Amino acid sequence: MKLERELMRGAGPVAVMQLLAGGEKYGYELVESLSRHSNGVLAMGQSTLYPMLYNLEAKELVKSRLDESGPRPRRYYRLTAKGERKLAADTKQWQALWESLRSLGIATQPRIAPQPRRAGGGGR
Amino acid sequence: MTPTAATPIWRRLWHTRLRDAIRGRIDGSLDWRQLVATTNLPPEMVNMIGQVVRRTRLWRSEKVDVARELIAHFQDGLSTGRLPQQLLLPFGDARVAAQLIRRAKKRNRPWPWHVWRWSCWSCLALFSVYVLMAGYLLLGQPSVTTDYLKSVNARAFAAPRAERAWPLYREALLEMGAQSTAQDPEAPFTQAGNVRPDSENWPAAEQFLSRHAAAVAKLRQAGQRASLGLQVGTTAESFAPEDRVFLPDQMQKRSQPSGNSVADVGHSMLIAAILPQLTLLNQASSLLATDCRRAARAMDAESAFDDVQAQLGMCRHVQETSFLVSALIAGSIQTTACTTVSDVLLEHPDLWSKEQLLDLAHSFSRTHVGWRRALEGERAMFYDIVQRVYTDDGEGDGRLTQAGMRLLNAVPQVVFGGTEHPKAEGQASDSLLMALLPAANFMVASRREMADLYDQFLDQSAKLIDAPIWDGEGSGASRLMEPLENSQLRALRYVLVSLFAPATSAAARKAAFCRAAQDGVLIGIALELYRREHGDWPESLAALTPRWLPEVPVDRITGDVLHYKIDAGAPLVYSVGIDLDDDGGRLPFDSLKAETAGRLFDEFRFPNTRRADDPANDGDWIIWTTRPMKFRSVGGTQPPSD
Repeated sequence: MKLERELMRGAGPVAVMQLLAGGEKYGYELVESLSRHSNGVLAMGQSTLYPMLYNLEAKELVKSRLDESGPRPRRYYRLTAKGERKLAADTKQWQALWESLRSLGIATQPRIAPQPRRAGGGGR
Repeated sequence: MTPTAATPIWRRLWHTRLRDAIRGRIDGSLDWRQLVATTNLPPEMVNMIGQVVRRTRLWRSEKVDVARELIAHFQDGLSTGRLPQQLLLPFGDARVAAQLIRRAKKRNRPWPWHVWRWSCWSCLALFSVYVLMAGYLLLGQPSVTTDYLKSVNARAFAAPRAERAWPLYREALLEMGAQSTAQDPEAPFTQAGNVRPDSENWPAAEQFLSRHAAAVAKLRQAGQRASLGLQVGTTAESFAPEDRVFLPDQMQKRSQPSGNSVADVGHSMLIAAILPQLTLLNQASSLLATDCRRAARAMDAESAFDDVQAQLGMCRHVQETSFLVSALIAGSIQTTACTTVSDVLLEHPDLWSKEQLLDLAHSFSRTHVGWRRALEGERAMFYDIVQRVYTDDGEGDGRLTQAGMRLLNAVPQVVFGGTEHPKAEGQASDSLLMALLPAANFMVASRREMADLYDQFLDQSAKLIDAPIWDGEGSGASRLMEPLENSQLRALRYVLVSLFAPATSAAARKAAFCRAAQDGVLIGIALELYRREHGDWPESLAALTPRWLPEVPVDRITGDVLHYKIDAGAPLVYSVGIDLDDDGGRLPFDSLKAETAGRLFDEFRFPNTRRADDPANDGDWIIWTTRPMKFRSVGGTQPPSD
């Protein structure tokens, strides 16, 4: 199942930031992680992912660097301090929303547990 | 194979950043096409990346970043064992991807670019609004609903034909060659005006008068008529053919309005009305002043009496077209009549009979300069301009029109130039006026604001003219105009008021002077009548009332009682003058106009300021005397009656 566009618009950036909270990642790695962790629910086309990353970068929630040391030049993204604060705030909101939906009987139990965040990003 | 090695030098040059070129690095690193073409990706992926990057329409450096990221993306995907189709399918539509990437990438651009971009958009938005507003404003047209010129001329035809003075004036003026005065100020008709027997021009003037005795008689006869009856207009054609000879050259060439050109519209404005009668009757009244002195010397009391009566008639006639200039000319004619009477009473006190003197006193009492009516004429003139410049929303308001701007642009030529036809110039500047129209509407006051300020100004001016000098009531008009004189922006906002507000402070001064001159003549006649009855001058002016004067006029400068004394056997009536102290009837210095010494009603001596500390104002202002007067020379101390 895939999320509707409007839901994806709200959930996508949080999901990407959550993945980046585990350390810096490049584009394809994020695509794969999203698909794997969400069992395809949060899988998004690359035409959505890269603009989303650029938007997060414009908002200074993520920062990118070009790594040319590997087999091919890759752009890696990591969460900024501002991004961490934003992720924390968004997580609270999503949890509150989840609780509300659960109390209404719409949701039963979370299938995706939030990953523990590591300060300052990390290796790939 | 590196892009550098495979690419020709011109291509590398073209795709090199300026800063790289300066550093000598011509590596073509911004050539994203080359970058994509040299990857080992399958053709369909190369094609997809090419489409996306090309459609982003980003900067070259941004395209290179996007291309590099997508290449890495697909290479990473292929390295996991996925087939090209498995990677291309979830990628989505190239057009949508390019659009989203473009938007997101632009958000990452540096802030100066965003500032510049928003500035451009703002300018574009403002320009669009301006253009739309210009379009809207260009639709507005002034609507001329009132023919003010017609209402001015209506008064000329109110009197029956037999009571109109102009036909007689015309005959007399033509006989005396007055038509040439429009072109030649040295014409004999002009030269014979206001000449005194002690002048070197007297013999020539006397000769001129005897040669044109019949014409002078016609002037006297015309002066007695109730109405002037001259139709005025804005072009030569609007005058009767026999009257056109009195028009100045440039006015004679002014053609009849035939269309909607600026000149045509301008020439039909009330402000462009030609008033030849003002100068002609002013000159004619001066001629009658000379004739009155001639008649007095010949002891022809009747002719001298008729001359003065005709002068007062001319004073009424010039006011038939009531503008401020008409009132100023009327004031001049009235003052000339006052001077004429004073000259006769000084030189020939027994010329006129008691009945004639009483008649003259009554005539002078009845003859007034209609300053307020003149201001109404100015108002009509202004409203006429306003209706040709603004639209009319039916409630007294409106906006500036292009036609109005063209008219304002041409007014100096139309009104003052006369013969200049500004049509071509108007067309040349039309596009500029059109472009400036919205800005002008922001800058220039609306129709109502403009008319309101003008009305306030005229109301204050009316108070100024009516108010006595000592009152200071009239300073409101000048206070109203001060902001316009001190601020160019304000002057531009109220451009019509700035351009067309008349000089009412000068008119107020003239009005006060005319009233004082009239006071002098009435007192003088009353004194003469008293002397004839009692054999001597009265001890005070109060003795003249109520038999010879209804009441004694006040000092026009202070509002107090006029000073009066018998000086060397002659009466001396005077105001304390501008220095506000009694100098015993002594005239002030006359450093600037010594040639007028000995004349009463010299307007030059009339106070025009309250600068009491000026030595030139140290002295009194003589209202009436039957003794020759002398001004002190500069630094001198001689009394006036020496």
